[in-house]
Amino acid sequence: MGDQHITLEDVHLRFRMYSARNRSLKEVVVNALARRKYGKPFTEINALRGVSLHVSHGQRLGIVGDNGAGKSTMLKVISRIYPPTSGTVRVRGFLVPLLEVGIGFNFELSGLENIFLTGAIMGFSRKEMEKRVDSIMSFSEMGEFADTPIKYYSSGMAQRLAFSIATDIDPEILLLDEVFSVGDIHWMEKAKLRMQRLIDRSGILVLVSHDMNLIEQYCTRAVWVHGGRIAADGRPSDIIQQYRDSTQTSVSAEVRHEGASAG
Amino acid sequence: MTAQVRELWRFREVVKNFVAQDLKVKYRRSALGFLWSLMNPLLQMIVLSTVFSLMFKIPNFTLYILSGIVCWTFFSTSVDGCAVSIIGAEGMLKRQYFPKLVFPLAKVVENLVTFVLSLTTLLLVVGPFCGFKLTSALGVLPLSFACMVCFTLGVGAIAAVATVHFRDMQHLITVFLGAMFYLTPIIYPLDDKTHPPDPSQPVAAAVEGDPTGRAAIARGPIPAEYRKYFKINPLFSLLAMFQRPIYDAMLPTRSEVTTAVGVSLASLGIGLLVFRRFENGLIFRL
Repeated sequence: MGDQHITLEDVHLRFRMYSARNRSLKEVVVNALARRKYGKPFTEINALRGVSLHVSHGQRLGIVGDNGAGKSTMLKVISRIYPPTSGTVRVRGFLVPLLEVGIGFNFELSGLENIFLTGAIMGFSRKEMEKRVDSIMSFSEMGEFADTPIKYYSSGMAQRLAFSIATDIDPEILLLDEVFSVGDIHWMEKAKLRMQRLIDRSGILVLVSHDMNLIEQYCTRAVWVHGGRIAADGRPSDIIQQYRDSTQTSVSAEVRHEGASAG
Repeated sequence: MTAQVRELWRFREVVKNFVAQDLKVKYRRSALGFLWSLMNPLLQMIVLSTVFSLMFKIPNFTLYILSGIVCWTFFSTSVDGCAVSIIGAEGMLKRQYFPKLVFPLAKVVENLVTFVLSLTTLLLVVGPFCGFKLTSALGVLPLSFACMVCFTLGVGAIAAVATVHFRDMQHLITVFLGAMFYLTPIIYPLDDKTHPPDPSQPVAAAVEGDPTGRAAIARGPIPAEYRKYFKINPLFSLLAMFQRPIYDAMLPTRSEVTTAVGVSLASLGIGLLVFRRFENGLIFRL
């Protein structure tokens, strides 16, 4: 314990977004035979352009930035969902990513079955999970829905279950992407309490959020991601201020620009 | 490749879970449960043996079909399942890291369970009525299963990757499997050197004028000069690993065993190499 860390060294991530065309073998063969050129069948996206970051034990890192800046992509690279195009990603510690809805749920299966499945994905045997089932179920307030397939759950319910599992299995490193945004006030209060306890115990937290209060409340460090790069790194209050300033400057610049063109 | 295997081992609980859940989902909604998985080979067996026993006068034709059709069902449903296994797991793959091989592997294991159960049940229930004999030759079956699984996993891994790259691959695979079914001696016999059934043991359904069926088999529906082409098919020797001990009550020939083992290891090796080559890019194409 205590030596958990996340290290990114000059990480680039470039991938191609394929258009609906050319996704079938038929199209590829026909185009090749007819020597037709449809232009590029894909657009290349530079999601991360040289990110270096070291997060050590005890740090709670908040990531702020505009939509599409690369915040969530960073979480996906850290959790190995996206392999980087170049650069290295080193993670030491038991990591649980809590991205979007669900941790990797099978929506055909019931909530209860998904607890075991998620446990297995995290490396827990069925026996180990059986000890945790009760507390997960009671915290997530699934009640009579335990045997209902997750596809019938509301997104809030699925998220609650995912959160309950992820926080019950005591990760050393927890990645969170906007989880607090789902759920009613009662749930949010409850979740925050549990979150706080977990944060106190766990080694590393990485939180992506647009809610600056959340970042300020939970994080000891923040980075501002802009255009696939880390634009600033420091104390949450400073970074948030910088980020706000830049947003205001760009907005006021736009207003001025509009005013100029109108005048 | 050892790293690949080690990582899979770490995810064994996940494979176990997928297999258990898939089997549960498959059988939960039907009162007959597992019996349904027997219906498909059983019905095929009945129809095919009724129709084709008129064409091919070989003894115990039902048993011959049984020995082949269950293996074929394993192969084709596994490859079909593998082909869509990664596409179908899109939601999970975008939220959590997995070694992608987990998905085709789970499909193959799931079908293996059905394969072993249905073959055993059919042999024990239907077998006695169509000349099935318990012999020591059946001892080769574990090796047969192992070969079949390795071969299928290799093909399935490639099918899974190919389908992510080209979504219309599914249709091609269906066509390919349809062709393979008829090119493989499942519903017709090929063998020119089948071990003659023990002449001291009268065959139950002996054909008139040919009590041992030897002449009929030697003649066979496929002219002798074409038979060598049928043997290029890798499934030929793999199926022989089942047809020999079950139908002929004898061990497969040495060349059949070597070919089956060689072909299955080659398929597995190539499959894993191809899979590893493309594995990392898959997530961006889902």
